[in-house]
Amino acid sequence: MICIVFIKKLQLLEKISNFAVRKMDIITLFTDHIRVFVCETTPDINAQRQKLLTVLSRAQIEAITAEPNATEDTVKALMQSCECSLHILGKQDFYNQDGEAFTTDAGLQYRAARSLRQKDFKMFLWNPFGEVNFENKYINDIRRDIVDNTIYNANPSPIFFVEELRSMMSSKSVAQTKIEEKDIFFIYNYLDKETAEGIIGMTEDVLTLSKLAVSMDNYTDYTDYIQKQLPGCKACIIYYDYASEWAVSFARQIWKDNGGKSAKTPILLIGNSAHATSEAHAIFNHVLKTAISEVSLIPLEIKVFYDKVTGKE
Amino acid sequence: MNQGICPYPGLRPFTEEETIFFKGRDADIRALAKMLETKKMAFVTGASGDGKSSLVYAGVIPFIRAGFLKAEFNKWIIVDFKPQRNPLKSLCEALAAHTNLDVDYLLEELDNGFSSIVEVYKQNGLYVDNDEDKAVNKGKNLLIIADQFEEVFTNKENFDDGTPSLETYTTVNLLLETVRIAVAEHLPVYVMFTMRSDFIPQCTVFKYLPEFIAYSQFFIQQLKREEITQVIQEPAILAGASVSSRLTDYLVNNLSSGFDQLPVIQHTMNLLWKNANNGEQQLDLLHLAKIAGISKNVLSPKDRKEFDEWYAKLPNYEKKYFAKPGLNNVLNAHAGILYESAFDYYQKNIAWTQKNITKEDAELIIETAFKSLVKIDNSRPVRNRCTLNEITGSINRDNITNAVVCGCLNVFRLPENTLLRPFIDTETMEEKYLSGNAILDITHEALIRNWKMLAAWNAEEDIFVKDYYDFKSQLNRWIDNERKENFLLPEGNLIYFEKWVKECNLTSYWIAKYDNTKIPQDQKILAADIEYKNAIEFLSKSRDAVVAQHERRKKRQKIVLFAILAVMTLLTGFMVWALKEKDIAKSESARANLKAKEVEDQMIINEHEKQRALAAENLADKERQKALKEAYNARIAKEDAEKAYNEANYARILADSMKNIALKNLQSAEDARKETEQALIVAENQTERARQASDSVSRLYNTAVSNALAMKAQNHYEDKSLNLRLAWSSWLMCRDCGLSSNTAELYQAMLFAMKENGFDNKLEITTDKIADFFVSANNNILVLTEKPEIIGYKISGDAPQEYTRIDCAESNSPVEKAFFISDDKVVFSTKDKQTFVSDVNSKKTVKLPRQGYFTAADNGINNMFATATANGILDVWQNDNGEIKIKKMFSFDTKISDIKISSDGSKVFALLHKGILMQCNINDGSTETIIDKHPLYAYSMELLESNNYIVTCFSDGNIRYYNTENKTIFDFLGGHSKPGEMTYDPNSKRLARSSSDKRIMIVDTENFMAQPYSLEEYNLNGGKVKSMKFNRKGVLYVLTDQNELRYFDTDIRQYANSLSKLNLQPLSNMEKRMILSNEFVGEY
Repeated sequence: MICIVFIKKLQLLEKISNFAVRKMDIITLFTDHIRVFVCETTPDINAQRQKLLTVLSRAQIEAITAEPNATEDTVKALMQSCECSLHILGKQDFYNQDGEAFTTDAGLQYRAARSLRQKDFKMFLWNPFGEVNFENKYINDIRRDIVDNTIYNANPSPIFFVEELRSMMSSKSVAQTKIEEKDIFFIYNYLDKETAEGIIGMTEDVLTLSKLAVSMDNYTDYTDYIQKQLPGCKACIIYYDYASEWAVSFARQIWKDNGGKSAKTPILLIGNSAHATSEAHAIFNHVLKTAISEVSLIPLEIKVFYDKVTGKE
Repeated sequence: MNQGICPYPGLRPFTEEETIFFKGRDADIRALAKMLETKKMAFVTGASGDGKSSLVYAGVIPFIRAGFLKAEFNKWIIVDFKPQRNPLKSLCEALAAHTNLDVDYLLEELDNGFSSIVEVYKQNGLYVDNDEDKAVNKGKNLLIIADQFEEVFTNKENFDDGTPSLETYTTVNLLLETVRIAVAEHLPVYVMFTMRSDFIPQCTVFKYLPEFIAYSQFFIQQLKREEITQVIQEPAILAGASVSSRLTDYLVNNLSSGFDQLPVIQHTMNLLWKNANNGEQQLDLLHLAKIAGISKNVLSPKDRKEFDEWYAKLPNYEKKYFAKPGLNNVLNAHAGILYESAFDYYQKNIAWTQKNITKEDAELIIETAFKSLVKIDNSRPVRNRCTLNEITGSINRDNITNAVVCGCLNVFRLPENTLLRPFIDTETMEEKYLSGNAILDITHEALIRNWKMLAAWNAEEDIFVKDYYDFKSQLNRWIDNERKENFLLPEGNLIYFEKWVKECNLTSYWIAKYDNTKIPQDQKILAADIEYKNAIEFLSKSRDAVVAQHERRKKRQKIVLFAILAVMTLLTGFMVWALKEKDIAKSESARANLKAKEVEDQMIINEHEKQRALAAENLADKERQKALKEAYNARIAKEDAEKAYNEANYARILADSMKNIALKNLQSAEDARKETEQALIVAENQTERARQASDSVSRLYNTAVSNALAMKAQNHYEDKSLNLRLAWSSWLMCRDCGLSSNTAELYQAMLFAMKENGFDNKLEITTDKIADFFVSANNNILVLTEKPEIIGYKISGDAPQEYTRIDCAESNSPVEKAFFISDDKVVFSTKDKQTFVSDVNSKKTVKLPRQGYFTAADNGINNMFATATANGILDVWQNDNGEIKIKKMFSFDTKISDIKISSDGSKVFALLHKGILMQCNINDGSTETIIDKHPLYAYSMELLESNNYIVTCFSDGNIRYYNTENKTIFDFLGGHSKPGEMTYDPNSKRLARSSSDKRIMIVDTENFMAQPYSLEEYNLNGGKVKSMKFNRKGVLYVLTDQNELRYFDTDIRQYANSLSKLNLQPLSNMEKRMILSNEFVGEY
């Protein structure tokens, strides 16, 4: 009894401290060390480059530069040691959309950065002349080339630009580390555990399962756990018996937080026909697959769904 | 794929079905849920329109229903209410709807305040505290949401003169106590408020409310860049569609901060989704251009073409909204187009009423409706909900009934528009056809701020409102003073207010809109009706008073006139009598005169006798006088004679001096004559100069007009023959006025005009990929394809005729780079790094011993030619009876950009990539540096041996001329694009240079001051120059990377000849004036 009370107090303290930590976030948000590669520019905007370097140092961001005429390999190696590259767009062009050899340092380094664009490496393009509306042809071409991980900013203030850079580099996406790779991710409410365990037992004969019982007593952060586990499974089943109200809202939230129609792991919401009604599913329309079935047939429904999504049918 | 709902709701808030697409506030949702979980309360504040309600209803509520707020039970009761006019009643009604309890019962219970809500919760089966009931899911958590809590202060029923009503105070007490008890007893009861932050100071009137706000306030922050990106992109991704990054970039960079940030972006995304075929296409800049959100000039050429085709089909009334495209124009364009098309929609779709209204009626209906739905509050337009009856009453016309008004407004209520509530979500009649009491509302205040037409109506309404208050004060003054005539309106004010009543279309409904008292709406309308009648009576009585005043004035005038007439009549009578008396007096007077005359005559006779006597006496006196006078005259005459003598003397002296003066004057006149002659000569010179200046002015004027016509010829017109006529007229003007016709503008004008009219300068030759080409001395064209194959063409007219075809393939690899070094030899390298020389005459292909990637080659003499490679090897080759051997080799440590052999065959010039120019002597193998290092990279080179120049091109686009004789250098600013190919015509002395921006510049090397000719991207059909050559007649042939071979004559007279054969009508003076004026419409 004393242990239970102690554990509950610890959990309460954890909750409060989590909240306290979150409250402090705005103060500690920008203490992570950021390392950026500041590229060469065309000669007309040397002054803006110098100003930017000064502002970066005041924002405690480490700025890395390359020697003049450095080779592309040297530049790439330096860039890979940084988290992003900064490019200043002046009035003179250095970019050729046909991909020919860039002959100035600015052009060469731009090309090097383009080849490194990936999930964790970003390119920041700053136009200090405030051209927001595609007025210059070569900037036009660059902006049409914008893809993910390329951020264009036309605010004349270097401080504004560095603030935005810092904000974006501080809110990095959480790495989708999978926990365990299974065929099915099976989620249910603890109130429905009786029937759920029976279904799990039958399904595990033919498929591998990762299970999650959602409980109001448990202080696990479900959203975080589900975001990590879901990509590791080929299909996700949300099962309910009595807890239909919870299940519908829960399924909707999971669908939204995990990529919607573009998610790699499809979701099936399935209810026990003894207590479920189709009205609850109407809210999903054709957004999410839903089904109602007898308890004994639910493992079969799961297998059919699994075969369909894995292309085995 | 996307048959379901659009993930962007537009201006309206998210429905429950759409909460799955609510993105951008994920962190806020989690933070709010955490706050509720730990503190049982959250007070959500923020500016107007920043999405507080959406955050709660579309974000937090689904989140906690999904179980992500750890509460005691699985199930939730969410009781949400708005304070409106009685907060306590609203709370009870909301609680009753979710709990099946009776409203009256709840009113009675909650009226006690404090723990009443908690008691109701515990005692009515909502809260369970035994494990068995918990296990079967019986208990329910309770969340109470007081939405738009500022209504507690804005409605006069709740808050008047700084004092809250009893119901309001009780409600606040209930909610705060509920929080306190929930925290103390760990109950699963939570309370949330949403309120505009500008009402926080007023919260001090409620005890403890400021402290509770400090305990748990959540201030909604402005969206950061990554959050805005989520709002834009993630709903599409969730729906299985996508938004291009460049469109996202444009939207993020153009979104203004402020009230309307979120609604504008949601509305824009909603329209973009539909334009992209409901998400089946990727949402991109083209779709934004189609909703007038961005200029078409931003689009790629392919998209621009598609846009132009689509735009051409639009009706004219839609096109005007594309004049100033921009993100802030999207909502304006959408609403404006609906306004213009509402009448057509009404005619086609509304079946429940007769179609006896005109387009003007429909526009009046819409204008009146929107004016009714907006109220001016302290000169600021705000939403004003009103019923259909009120709108119809405001229009006040017999043929415009509720059914007609509803029909005209329905287009704004459609699901794809949703600018007016209630929306039409289904096809049922209940939703389409509104009753008179149905309440209409503008969906969001963003429409008021962004629709320009509505803003103009509001500005007008603002003036009307000010006039109304002015009028009302005068009306009240009249009523308060027992409606006395003295307080009626004077004529000037009366005319003004009569005009105002007519323009404003004053009705009792309009008056009721501005009634700020706290009586119910129907009573307001009754009161307004009375005020309206008073107003009409006031105006009518004022009008009568003014008319009466006019009448009185007229009457007075009549009286005065009558009086004058009477006086005149009297005076006339008197005058007649006076004239009669005068006649009588005259006749009496005449008789008296006769008698007097007789007496007079007698007296006269007596007088005569007397006079004769006197006359005799006088005669004697006169004779005496006469004698005296004679004596006197004689003396005077003597004096006069003396005087005359003196005067004559004096005059003689004077004449002498005058003679001297006259001589002097004569001399002066002679001098003046000479000066005049000189002045005449000067004047003649000035006249000549003036004449010359006039000629110059005339020349300048003609030059300016000719240039202006040439520039106008480069615009787009609906009638394309106008381009030709403009170019032709410019040419004629130059010719007739003796101006130089060799101008760049005229050249470009002619090229443009001919292109616009379908003249195609493309040569129809092989469709195989061409590596390089050559123009021979007899104007034949030789091309080397990638196969490789040499094909020869004779050019007769515009159609090339193939005359030879030689297969040069010695390996299976296609050609990578090629150089024609003469009209019978071509050097090429293949992709497998082999190099060959092919001879057109012998049809033989020989493999060269040197391998590698060629960067340049040049013709030689005496069977000699040279090649250069990327690794800096320069070879001079000798052809000995078919065997090709290396004569001399030079090696450099960097890439060679270009080479040229001198005409005497003694040296070869090498332009290195780093900008160094080397002279290599073939005979002794020595090298000499001519130009040392240059900060930029060098690309190509030409020898202009006739005027001792070597011309080089650098990466910044500038051209450098090096004089080999006096070793001087000068730079010619060529532009800011990286250069490409260069070629020189020794006959016309013209140098052509291409650049990476798809242009060609043609420079006259004998006159650097002249503006170079320019061939633009459209001249080359958007292709990039691969190779260029001149023929002997100064025609430039250009090979592009689109495998097109085009030709351009550099002699402008040739184009003039072509135009002259078209029998074009030159422009008249009037046409020229019209086209050159700013009012000319015809170009686009």
